Amino acid sequence: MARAPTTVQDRLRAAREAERAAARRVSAASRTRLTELLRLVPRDRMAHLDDPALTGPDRVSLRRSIQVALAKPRRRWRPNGRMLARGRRFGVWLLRGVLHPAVLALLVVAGGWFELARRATPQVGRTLQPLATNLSGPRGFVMTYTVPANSWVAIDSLERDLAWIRVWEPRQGYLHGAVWRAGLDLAPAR
Amino acid sequence: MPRILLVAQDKGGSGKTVLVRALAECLPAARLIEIEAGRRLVELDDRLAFFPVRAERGEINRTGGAAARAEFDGVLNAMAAAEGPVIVDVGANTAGSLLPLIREASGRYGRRGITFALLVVLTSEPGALANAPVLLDLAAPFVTARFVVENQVEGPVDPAALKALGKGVTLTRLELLSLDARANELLQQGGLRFIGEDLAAAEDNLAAKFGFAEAGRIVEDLTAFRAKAMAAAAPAAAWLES
Repeated sequence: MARAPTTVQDRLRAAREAERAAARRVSAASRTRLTELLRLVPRDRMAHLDDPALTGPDRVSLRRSIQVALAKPRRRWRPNGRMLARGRRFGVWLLRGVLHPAVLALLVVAGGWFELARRATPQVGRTLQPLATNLSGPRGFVMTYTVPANSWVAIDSLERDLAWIRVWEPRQGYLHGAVWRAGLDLAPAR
Repeated sequence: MPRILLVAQDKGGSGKTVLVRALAECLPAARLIEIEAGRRLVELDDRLAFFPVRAERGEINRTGGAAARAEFDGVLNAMAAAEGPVIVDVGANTAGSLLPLIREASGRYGRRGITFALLVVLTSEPGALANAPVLLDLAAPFVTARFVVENQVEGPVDPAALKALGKGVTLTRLELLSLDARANELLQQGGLRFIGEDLAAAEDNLAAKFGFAEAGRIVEDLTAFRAKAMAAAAPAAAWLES
């Protein structure tokens, strides 16, 4: 049999123990009730959400058990944490690579070449009929030439009625001459 | 050596009686003196001497304290006859009149080996805040220990006000507990003694009356309240015991 508390400290200790014991009893009774309720099907559990025998935390547990049981399964795929982390690492690696000075220098050079090639590429047209012209070369070379019908020609520039064309001659290089603009289809279908 | 602990606060509703009950729980050997307009510590009747005080503050002021002095003769005599620890519940609007009388007689009490301590109950209510330092100063010349219990029933007391109480005051705190409505009803009816002595046995009756679950919560709330009130009163109880 426990000794009756005699000092103030003993009685204080006994009072605290009585407090803890009462809390334990309430908690145990609530836990027992929660166990009973969790055996019910989810829809029946809903009638006991405010069961007075349940403590606050156990009411939350009961509510969550219903939410879990009645929640529709999610079908949409979502990357898990590991995949997201890999994606983030890859993004950082890519950004570092793109911002590397060597890569940036390469992009500038490539851009210059691209612009040069774009400017050097002439507009093309197709002759609708045979077109006669005088072609002149860089060193004073001049020759008469008839561009056959339905052939592709490189156009250097367009004037009101004329089109300046160029023709490659293996020994002289590019030869330039003017033809009637009306004899060209400037937007031919390829 | 007889030791007398005066529990005071002139502002009513500050929780003096709760603290007196907690002291009585801490120290079952202590006798009690209740100075009130009406008897409240009914559950402690076997240890209690009750002295009704009819004088209102207005009457005391009008007669320069004479109205109260005559009524305190019985109280002063009861304290002089103390043989062991005594807890005095000094009712509202009474301490300001009683403490000077005890101070005047402190030499005579001292020759009988009687020592005094004061416990002031403090709440955040302005009247209680203003009265606490007055009572502590009134008692300072004749008490050997001064205790203050911050009762948070009306919210926490401003820390600056607590600090202003000065050194040499032992401060404890009674936190606000939200009691089940029926638990509070039982507390008012039976006091803390009922909780300590009879509550466990009464649990079955409570369960039959209110249902098993609520009975459990009532017991939990009441035992928690008793333990916390006793903890707040413990330093003063230890002084009485020593």
